[in-house]
Amino acid sequence: MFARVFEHYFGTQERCLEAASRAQPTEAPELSGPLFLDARRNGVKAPKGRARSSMVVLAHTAPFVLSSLTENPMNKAFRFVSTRPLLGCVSFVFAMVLGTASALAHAQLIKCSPSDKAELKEPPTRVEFWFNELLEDGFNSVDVILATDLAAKHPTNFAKGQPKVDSADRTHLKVGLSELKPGRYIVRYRVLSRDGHSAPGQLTFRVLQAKP
Amino acid sequence: MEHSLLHALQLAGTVVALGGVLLMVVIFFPAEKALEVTPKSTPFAQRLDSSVSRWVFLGAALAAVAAVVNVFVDVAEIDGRTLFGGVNLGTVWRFAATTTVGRLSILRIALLLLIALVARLPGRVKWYLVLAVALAAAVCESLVCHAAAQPADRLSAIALELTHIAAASFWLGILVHLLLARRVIESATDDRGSAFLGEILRRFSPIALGTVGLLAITGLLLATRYLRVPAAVATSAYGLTLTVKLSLLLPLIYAGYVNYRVIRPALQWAGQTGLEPSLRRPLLSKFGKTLELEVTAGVLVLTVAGVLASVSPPQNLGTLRLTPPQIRALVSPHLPRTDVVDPAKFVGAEQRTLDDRRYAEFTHNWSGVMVALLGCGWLVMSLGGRAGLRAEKAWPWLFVPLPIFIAVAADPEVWILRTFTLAQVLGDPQVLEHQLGAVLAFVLVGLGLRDRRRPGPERPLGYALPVLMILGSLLLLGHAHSNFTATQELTNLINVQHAIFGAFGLLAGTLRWFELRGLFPDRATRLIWPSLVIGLGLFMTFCYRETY
Repeated sequence: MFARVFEHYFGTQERCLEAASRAQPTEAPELSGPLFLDARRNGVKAPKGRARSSMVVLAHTAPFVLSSLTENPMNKAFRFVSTRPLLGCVSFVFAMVLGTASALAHAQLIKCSPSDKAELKEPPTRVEFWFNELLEDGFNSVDVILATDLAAKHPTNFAKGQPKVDSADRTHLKVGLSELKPGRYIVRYRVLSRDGHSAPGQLTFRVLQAKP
Repeated sequence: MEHSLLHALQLAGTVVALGGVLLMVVIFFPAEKALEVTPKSTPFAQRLDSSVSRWVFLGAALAAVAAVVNVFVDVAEIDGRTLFGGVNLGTVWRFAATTTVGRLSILRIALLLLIALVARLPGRVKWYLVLAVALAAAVCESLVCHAAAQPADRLSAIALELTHIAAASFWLGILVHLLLARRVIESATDDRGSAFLGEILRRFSPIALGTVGLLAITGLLLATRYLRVPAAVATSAYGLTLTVKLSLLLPLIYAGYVNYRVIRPALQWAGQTGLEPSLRRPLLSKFGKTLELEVTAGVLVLTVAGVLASVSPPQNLGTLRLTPPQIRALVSPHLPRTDVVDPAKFVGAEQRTLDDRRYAEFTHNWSGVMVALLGCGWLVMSLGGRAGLRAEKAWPWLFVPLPIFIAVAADPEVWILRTFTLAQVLGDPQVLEHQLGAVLAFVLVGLGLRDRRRPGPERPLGYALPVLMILGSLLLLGHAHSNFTATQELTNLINVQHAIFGAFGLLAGTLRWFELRGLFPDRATRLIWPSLVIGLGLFMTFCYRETY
């Protein structure tokens, strides 16, 4: 397959040169458009048998030589791309795409305390996270809210202050909590990893009623 | 997605800048010395020098602009918004001044601007300064990536990344400059010009072979490090994107082989035998053509590498790999969903519910039906005949429902409830990407309606189709559904499936581009690329799953 494609396009060195020697620009028809498509359009048919390779090389080379002498083939390549409406649309889409923010890359949560869906007899005093990537400090956020407040416009955040990255282990993030009453809590975090990507995550835990 | 494209632009700009200076310092100057030519005595050398200067300037400037935009996008992302959702300049300043990644970004921007400035200066000494600065910029590039965020073996990971970037610059960067100087090369038909070009290629070939080897080794080490287990190649978004990158390397290696085994010896032979200039032109043109093939594939490889930089590798956690039930669900085709779930049942829920995921399957399955029909239309068109003529008229109309469906149905918030205002659409990355997909599809419909004006072989849509297919596929490869409401497992399943869509689309678009440019046998490509579109449609229709 490879040998066939190779010969189809390039032939051998001698055939290239042989074909080149036959490719007289004055004899070639006026051509436009991509290489061998033009050759076909202008009636250059590949014969069968041994003559095929050199003929194919001739058919592929001559139009290209001629078009490259008369104009820059790259201009032709972008003939339709550069039409105004398309250019406008593509530029618009491109600009919009550059402005969207949703990297797949992010630090993944390895473990956390309290763990996801934990049921706790004692309310926790802080939430801790361990990720698989190094974190940047100062741009991480943790919100701890009551599940019943999820739809509220301004739910109470039980996290105290800004979460801190542990300077001894920069994959470790912790934040203190205010006193939690019994109930189900949702922890929503967003962390910035050292590769510049930021990503969100969520976990839940329940504080049980203390037994009398 | 934006990260993917911005990473790609930064990487491409750095590679072009570094490749240009390496071409000058490692190949061009020694070649001049060996042949004892002066720039003034050989117009070819002079023109090549000025072409390299110009493109090093543009490459560095492009990378600098992309790096500036990336800082703003990073800050917007911290707030979970797009750039259009608004960015606080004070936060941008604090990010740039207080975080390592921010400081490195600012340093890289400054270095890239310095390269752009120095590259336009006259004289030769500038190239050594540009080389030092470009290497520093490449170091910065390798310090803001997955490798830099590793908690263990960080230095070795960064060293591998840097070697990979430098090797890519040596190979692809130089090739890009040779293609950009194609007109200059094709004009080198005099004896001195031919000899000089031959000397450049003679010196470049062993370097290219060496750097390809280095790329393969560092790439393999990085892949082993990030993927950990071979199964991750097919079961993670990172592995699939890496596979796309490797498949794009094949035409690149093929064209490199042709250049090495056919064109280079022929050019040397022509130089030695004093072949007439008119007979050298076809060879030079053929060289230009294989260069074009190499560089086109190379640019796509760089772009996909940019996407890879923003895809989380599975590493040893394995959480970003498909689970066995997910794999079973994907390989067990189902009929498209017909049960439309009322979005009111799930919009605003704490976690993505079963209804929500069923709704997503419904929209993807029926989008797939439309894509498959479209691919069939293009395939029939490619086969020609009377059916082909009918398909030519029908396909734009077949395509109309798709963008409408995406715009209206892709996001349940947008569809029935209309809880999203335009500002919210612009600010929400997920919704914005879906709406942009709809815009892309509308563009294709619009162009399809004026398709009859094009020459036959360029239908459908001429060069616009592969350009938009490639852009859209990059959008899909970097498409993310990371939010509070989806679990990591579900997010991974969605990302893997979007990576599969992107792989189909990118390969189809690339093949179509190669066909139009006459770089691949048209008989094969004109059947393969519509088949890939059909394959994409069928996968979406019968295999897309979020419930399992």
